Amino acid sequence: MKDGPSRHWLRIIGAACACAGRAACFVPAWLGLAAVAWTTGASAADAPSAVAETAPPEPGALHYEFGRGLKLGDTGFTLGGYVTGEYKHLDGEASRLRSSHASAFVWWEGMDRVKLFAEVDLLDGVSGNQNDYDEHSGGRRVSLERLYGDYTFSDALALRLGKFLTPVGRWNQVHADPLVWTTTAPMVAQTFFPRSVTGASLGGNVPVWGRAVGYSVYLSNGREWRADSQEDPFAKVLGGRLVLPLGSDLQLGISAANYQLRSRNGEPQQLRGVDLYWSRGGIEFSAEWLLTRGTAVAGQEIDPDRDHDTGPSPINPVPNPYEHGGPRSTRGGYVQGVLPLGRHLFAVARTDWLHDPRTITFVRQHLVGVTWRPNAGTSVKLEYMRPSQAQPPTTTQGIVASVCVLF
Amino acid sequence: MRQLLRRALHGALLLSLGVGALGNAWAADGRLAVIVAANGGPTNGWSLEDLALIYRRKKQFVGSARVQPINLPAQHPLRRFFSQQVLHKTPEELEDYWRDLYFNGISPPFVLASEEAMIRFVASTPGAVGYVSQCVADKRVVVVATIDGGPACSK
Repeated sequence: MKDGPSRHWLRIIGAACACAGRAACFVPAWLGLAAVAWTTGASAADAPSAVAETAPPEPGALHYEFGRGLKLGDTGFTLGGYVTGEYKHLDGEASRLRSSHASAFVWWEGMDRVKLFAEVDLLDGVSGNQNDYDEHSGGRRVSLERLYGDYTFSDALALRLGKFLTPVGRWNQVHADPLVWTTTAPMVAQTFFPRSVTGASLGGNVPVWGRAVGYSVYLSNGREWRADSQEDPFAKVLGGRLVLPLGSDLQLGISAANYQLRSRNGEPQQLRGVDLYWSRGGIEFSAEWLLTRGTAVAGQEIDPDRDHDTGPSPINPVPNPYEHGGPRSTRGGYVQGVLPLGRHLFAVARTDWLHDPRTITFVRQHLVGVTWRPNAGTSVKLEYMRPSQAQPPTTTQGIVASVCVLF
Repeated sequence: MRQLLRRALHGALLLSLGVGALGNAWAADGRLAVIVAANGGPTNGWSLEDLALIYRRKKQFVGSARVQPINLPAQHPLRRFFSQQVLHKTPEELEDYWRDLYFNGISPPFVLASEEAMIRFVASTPGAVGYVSQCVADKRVVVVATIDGGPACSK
């Protein structure tokens, strides 16, 4: 390290990392890291350029760049993570302050064609009221988000083995709080499919007319590693995703999967989806549309161990769509726009909807908010959401705010 | 014959890149040179489209060799010119892109402080690719593409 302050920060980070080895220290260590990172980032925001930049690694040297992680010299290891503090004030509920995510990830690229990646997430680590168990969020728990190895044969062909994010839609690929514009996720990103797959995938980028067309084909036999108790994992899945760049600012994604969920006794389901993303000069537009089709068998859909799966969430007002038998088709989507209000301040608006003819007529939720991104790793969000008129009583409205630090 | 053909193709590439860059917003007469190591680096396959994929980390290999793109600092005139001509965005506009990729374990290209540091690093690192003003490129590196209309020579 060249400069004194950075060395000082690294000592603190090292102590925090050592502390993080003990579970009891996990939360304060990560919050400490976030504070250090945020302080570093705040000063970076005052610099002429807020672009995070890293010099090539030197043997034995540590290099930390806010929002880009800690590189351990030329070992190939990079450590990073993010924390989120969240405040909810929803109609009909007590206000709640909590640490919704404390996520740590590490990756290794010590060889040209091999890469290893792991992410662990502590959910609901700190709550304003520990005695108030939140049945919808599931309470404090550790989730193995990702653990995989990549072998890259070429740019067009890489093999991935392990647990990875399900390649469906755009939101699920970048769902981490510091990367998205809102604290709450659209309904389709929460309920339509399991967020991760444990299995194998082949993917890559194929140059077509000077642009990289991305693809991914994946499969799993359902041996989910440390499944999140709040999720219904795949029992079996075969899927694919195609990302077509339609210009330097526009991309179209197409997703498809045939799968079975663990809770539904082998009921075959099909998922089809389309997503669009456009961005230029700080203005952003994104949209996703998803459809699932299946044939539920009455009385066999619900896993008896999953009693939390029977009610709607205050944030995600979706009744359980699987309590009746017969064919069903569920579809939903969202449209979201982002407009810069200043150098680091953005307005966000979103409408998302969900349609399940067997259980609910139509749920539509509107959201408006502002997001402040002063540097590469910090997001401060404030949003107000409310349902459309004449919604079922399960929908809700209120204010949600969060502070996220990517480090 | 093959050597002659390669030179002809190389010349055509340089010409096309130069012509393609005419008329851009940079009202300067400088020429940006894309450089690789003089000893052993691949000297073909460096179209603007390839460079865009490489600098977005969508293309990791040139031939069978792993490529390592290097940038100058975000405020450097050559970096800004290169970013707008090749990636069609400013470094600041790419911040969200890199934030998303960082979440998936992909870092942006490393950054070196000066053109001389760029030449030294590229010359000594297999697979490294960078860019400097053409007037400062010397025999330690090979110029594989040029873009006209950039900032005036820094020498």
